[in-house]
Amino acid sequence: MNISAPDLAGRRVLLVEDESLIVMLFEDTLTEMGCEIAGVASRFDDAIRKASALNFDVAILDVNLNNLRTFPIAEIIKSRNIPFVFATGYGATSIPEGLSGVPVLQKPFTAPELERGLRAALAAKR
Amino acid sequence: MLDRQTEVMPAQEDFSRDVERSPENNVCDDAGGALERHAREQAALFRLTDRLYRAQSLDASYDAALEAILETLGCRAASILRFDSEGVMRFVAWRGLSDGYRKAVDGHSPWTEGERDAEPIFVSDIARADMPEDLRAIISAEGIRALSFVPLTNAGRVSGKFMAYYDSPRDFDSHDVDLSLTVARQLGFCLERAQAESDREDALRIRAASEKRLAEELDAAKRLQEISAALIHEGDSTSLYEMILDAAVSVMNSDFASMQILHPERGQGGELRLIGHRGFSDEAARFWEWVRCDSSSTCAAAMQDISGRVICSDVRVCDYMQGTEDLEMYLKTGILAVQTTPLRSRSGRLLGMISTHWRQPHKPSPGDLHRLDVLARQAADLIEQRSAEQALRDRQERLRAVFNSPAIGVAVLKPDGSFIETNDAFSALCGYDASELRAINSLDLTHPDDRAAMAELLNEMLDGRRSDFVIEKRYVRKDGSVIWVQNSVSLTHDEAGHPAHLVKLIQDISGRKAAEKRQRLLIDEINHRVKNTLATVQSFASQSLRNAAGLAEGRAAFEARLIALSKSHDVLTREHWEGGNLCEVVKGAIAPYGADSPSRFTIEGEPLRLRPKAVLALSLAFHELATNAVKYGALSNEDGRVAIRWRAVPQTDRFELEWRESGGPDVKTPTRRGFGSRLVEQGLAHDLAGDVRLTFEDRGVVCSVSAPLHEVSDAT
Repeated sequence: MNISAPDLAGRRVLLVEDESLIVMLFEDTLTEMGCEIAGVASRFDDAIRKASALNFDVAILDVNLNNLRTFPIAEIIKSRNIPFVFATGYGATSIPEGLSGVPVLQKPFTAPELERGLRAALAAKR
Repeated sequence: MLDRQTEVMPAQEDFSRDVERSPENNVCDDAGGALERHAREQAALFRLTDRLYRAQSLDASYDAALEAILETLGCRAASILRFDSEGVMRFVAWRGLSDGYRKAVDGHSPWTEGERDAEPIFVSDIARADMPEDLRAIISAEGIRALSFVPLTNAGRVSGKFMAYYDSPRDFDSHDVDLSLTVARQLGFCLERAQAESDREDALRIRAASEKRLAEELDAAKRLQEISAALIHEGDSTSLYEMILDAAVSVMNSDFASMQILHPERGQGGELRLIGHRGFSDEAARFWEWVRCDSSSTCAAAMQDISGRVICSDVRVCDYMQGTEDLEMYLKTGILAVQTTPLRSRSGRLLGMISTHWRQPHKPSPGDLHRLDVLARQAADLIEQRSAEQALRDRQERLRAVFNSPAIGVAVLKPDGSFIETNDAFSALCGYDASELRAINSLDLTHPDDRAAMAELLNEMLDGRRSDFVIEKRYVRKDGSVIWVQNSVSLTHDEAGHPAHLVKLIQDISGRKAAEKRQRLLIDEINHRVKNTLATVQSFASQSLRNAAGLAEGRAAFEARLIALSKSHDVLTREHWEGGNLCEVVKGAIAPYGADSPSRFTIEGEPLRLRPKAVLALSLAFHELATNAVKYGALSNEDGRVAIRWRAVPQTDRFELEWRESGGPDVKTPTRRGFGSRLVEQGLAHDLAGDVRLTFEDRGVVCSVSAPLHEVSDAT
């Protein structure tokens, strides 16, 4: 294990995802990693609210939320200087220029992949 | 007249000699008889002179001379002979000779034509003269005993003779000689004069004939020139053909004429079509409207004969026409002679025929045929020119049809991009009409973002680095809307090799582009769904294995959920993933558990169209509830029942559904929440953005769902 890699234990995570079963998977996996679920948003408006107001350390953002692109939500989180990762079932092509450095997780992904992604996002912020 | 009198004078001198020769006569009687004779002779000579002077014809002249000879020379018979055109001495006038004698001695002459210094010959006694016996016999048989040959001269040269025949031997004296010479001289002068007259008349006739020919040639030349002039100024073909036919009739002096054009594609070796005629009856015109090359008309013969024209001076004796229908038609139409001249292009290709026909047997003169050849050249040129023009018109027609095709836009532009010509389809595409287009440049039409690429390709083409190209780009239509088009662009060049025109074919591919975009979206969608589904399955697997008592149970639970997921997809697939019917979803979920028996299940609620998301979520939830009921609840015994009821209230945007079990065994609230509960309470609530409550009442599970109607259904 990389000593300089950021620790995930105790990190509060915001989940933006509309598929409930995937949310459950995230929840279980994150809980096993030692993370805390700060909040879950399945709808765009709710996601905007939570992204703006909630306290969290890192976010996992599904690129597509009920057929809406979540890039505006990404911008909000970015403006708060909080790290995040994209989760997507689409190809990697659709990420806009300004957000190109953000780690992208391709669904379905393994727990180690999720871990790596979160660590990368946290490391970049530091 | 005076000269002739002078000629007579010497005779008077002879008179005195005569008197000396005949001593038996009384001097006075002899003198009186001689005077009388002399007077008679003078009178006869005078009469001869007069008659010759007045003579209207050669025969009259001959007649006058014969009379004078008979009167003055005391002969029984006389004749005049002339050299004919072959130089043979022939009788032209006679008296007192039998036909037999004449025939026998015809051609006999002591002199040759043109001989000079011919002297009269006197044969005093045939019996004693030196001559062939057979000749002597002939002469004797005629009763002739003496004769004289007297030459007739023309400018000193022998041109004929006259002869005097005596029935007894005669001593010819100088008087006879003088008289003979006088008559000969007179007759000679007269014949010379007549010859001169005749020559003059011949000359006049020849001149008149050549003047006439000249006039005819001039007239024909004028007609031909008119036709040439008419050809240069594009006239109507029909009237030009008529002009040529009229000229043919005039040049050939014919009664009929006809002109045909060859259609090489018809029949074997081609067929000739009648394009004009002069004088044919309707029947004849119909009969000869199409002539095959194997028919027996002259046109067919001319078609086969590469050497040239065919002339049939009398159709009745023409071998290849004997017994044919063509001959019948010729005769019926009143044609007895015909010629056909081929019309050939400048390169020698057969184009048609020109024919002339006569009511009488006729052989055209070389002059006529020569003029006809000039006419035929012009007719051939006319035909060739017209057919080339027709071919050009046909090609232009076809090009125009392609240009006007509504299926594709066509534009012709100058190399700088300004429009010269556009078709209706192009106008429909871009929204500008033809005149508006001519005022703009094609780059103006192109979407700003696509102009650079377009300009670069055009430059490459104009520089010669590229021959043509196809580009997909956007146009901004007149109304401001944007359409995708496919342009096929090519460049034409002038004779010097410089760019001349841009030719563009434009196709509206908006439909295709939209379809491509839809397809991309669709594929993205599918990808997204598939990935999500796999993630869902991943979740199932995780949940099922985590909470299972053993691997077998875990596998069974996983499989069951997977199948439920698949079934919910079936509902969606049936409706093209656009949604599903709530009733169908419910029935599908409980189907494995005896949905047919109404005693078991109660399903109540109005028909409701669910969003795809709701279809999935509810299907999975029902599966979990049913599975649970089978294991522990109302479906685990005989009496248990399940009632599923729902309600949609559009006014309050509310959807409510209840799964109520009853008659089942005692239910104990589970100590820990299984995945099923989690899925129903958390999952469904999450997916429907609503509330879901699971309660475990005495006789069974009750699940209450309350969610915004718009999240559940799109049927508003």
